[in-house]
Amino acid sequence: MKRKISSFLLPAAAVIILFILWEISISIFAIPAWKLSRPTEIAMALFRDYKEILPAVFYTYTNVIIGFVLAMTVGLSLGSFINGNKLAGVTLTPYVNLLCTIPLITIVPLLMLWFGIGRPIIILTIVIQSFPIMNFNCCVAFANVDPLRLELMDSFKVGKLKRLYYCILPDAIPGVFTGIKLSAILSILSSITAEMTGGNQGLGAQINVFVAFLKMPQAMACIFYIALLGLVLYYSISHIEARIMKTRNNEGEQAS
Amino acid sequence: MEMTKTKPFITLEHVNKEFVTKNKTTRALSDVSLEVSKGEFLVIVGASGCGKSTIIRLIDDIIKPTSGTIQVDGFEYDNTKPISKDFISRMGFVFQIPNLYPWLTVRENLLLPLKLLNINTKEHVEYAEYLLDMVHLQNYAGAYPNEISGGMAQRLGVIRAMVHKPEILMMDEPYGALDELTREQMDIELLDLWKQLGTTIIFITHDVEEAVLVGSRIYVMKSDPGRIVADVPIEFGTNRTINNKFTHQFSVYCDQITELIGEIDLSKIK
Ligand SMILES: Nc1ncnc2c1ncn2[C@@H]1O[C@H](COP(=O)(O)OP(=O)(O)OP(=O)(O)O)[C@@H](O)[C@H]1O
Ligand SMILES: [Mg+2]
Repeated sequence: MKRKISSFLLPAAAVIILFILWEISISIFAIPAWKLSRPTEIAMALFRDYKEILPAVFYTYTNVIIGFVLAMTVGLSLGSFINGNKLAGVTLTPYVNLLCTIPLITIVPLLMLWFGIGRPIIILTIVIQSFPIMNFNCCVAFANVDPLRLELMDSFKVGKLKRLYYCILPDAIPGVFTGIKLSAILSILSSITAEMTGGNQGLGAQINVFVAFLKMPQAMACIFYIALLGLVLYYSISHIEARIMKTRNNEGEQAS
Repeated sequence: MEMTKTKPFITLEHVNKEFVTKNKTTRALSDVSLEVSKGEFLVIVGASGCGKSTIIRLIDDIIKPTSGTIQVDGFEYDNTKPISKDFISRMGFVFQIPNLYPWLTVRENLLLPLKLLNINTKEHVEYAEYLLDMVHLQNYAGAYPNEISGGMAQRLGVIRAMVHKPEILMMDEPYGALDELTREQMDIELLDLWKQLGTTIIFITHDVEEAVLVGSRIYVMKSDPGRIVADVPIEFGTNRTINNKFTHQFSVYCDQITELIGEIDLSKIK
């Protein structure tokens, strides 16, 4: 219990100290407001300009959540399919993995040229950018399932779906969660990128507008909301993972 | 073979098994023929790597032979396709390690075969509870595998193979990792069960004393290539107790089998 409190209090204290130092240094070094805003100004912008900021927050958050859930579903399904089907694996894996390495910024303008600007295209961008890493991690985790555990399944002649449900998925949980976390991060990144490059709504677009008008505190307030989404997503996922893994930490192999 | 007046229940004829890996081919089994009659407690002994596990993995259809035929209860396995689910449900397999799923509790691990085989009768679930009780795991039913001892895990591995009431039970050194005292106790428990249920058991061990204690017949194997070199009936009758260990006959059997296993060439054990 004691450890739990300090593991929350210490990082919180660090952030507060950072903000205080930030505030003080701006005064000491006389940094102009259009270069860097004070934390207090950002906090004020959060409340004062909520009418401009909150719709953008809502737009971006919903896109990210929808895109992330879709990416997760596509990545997991494709990973399962590839795992159960050697031919598909050999054929598809190189291309899906290639998608991991293509910087999204290069294809967003193209996508927008083809399909126009709007919600569906931003969600599509998120999915394209985030599902390959999910797929990649699922494939690795599925391929590394303990062969003896699989043998138990095979000794009962179970079908592919049961094999997946009773053995492969639970065994692969840690790897799958790595994929989920990474694709959550990429979902946020890609949605902001898409909004900044071509959108006219959302936090990314809103930051562009604020910066153009030198409204730095407002731009920083938008960044605050992006960071908040990242934190909430990451910690929710970690929390779910911890609950699932709780029953099997130090899952030491039985003597052999 | 002279022993088996009844028609054999399990038959292997001229079975060969080769494992081909990148840089070499291992002849795990060379021309192995064997027979097991219904209700028999057959033991296979031999040094490490002589192909003991391979034999029961073949019978349980986990792997396919390179050549030869396998028959169980008059049904001949097709070497190109897996046997049916109905047929496989007549067999139980105890792995060389307990092979429990760490994400399932003791009871969930035990009930897993029923789920996989789509069995959900009340009778089977009650039988599962009975088995838990029998191996003294009732109080640990809700625990996870990392919370029970090695011996408990092995017992769970054994009853998991029995929960669907198989007619044939294959056990791959089920108690290999246990200390001798515990193992003996488990062996006696297993003998009681065998007498009660009349299951056909194929039991693998590399421990000669254990083999003589539990087996009604013993196949002795040698390696390189893996083959059966002797077939030794153990004539203690069905009334086997731990006291057999202290008879003269027991040590005669042990000596005979140790002799048959012969010198173990350690350089050939991987
Ligand atoms: N999947 C495999 N791939 C390659 N070689 C294998 C495989 N399984 C078994 N072998 C080889 O086949 C031979 C027999 O193996 P097996 O596991 O049947 O021996 P064993 O008698 O059970 O030994 P132990 O007492 O150590 O368990 C060994 O030489 C082993 O290296
Ligand atoms: Mg073995």
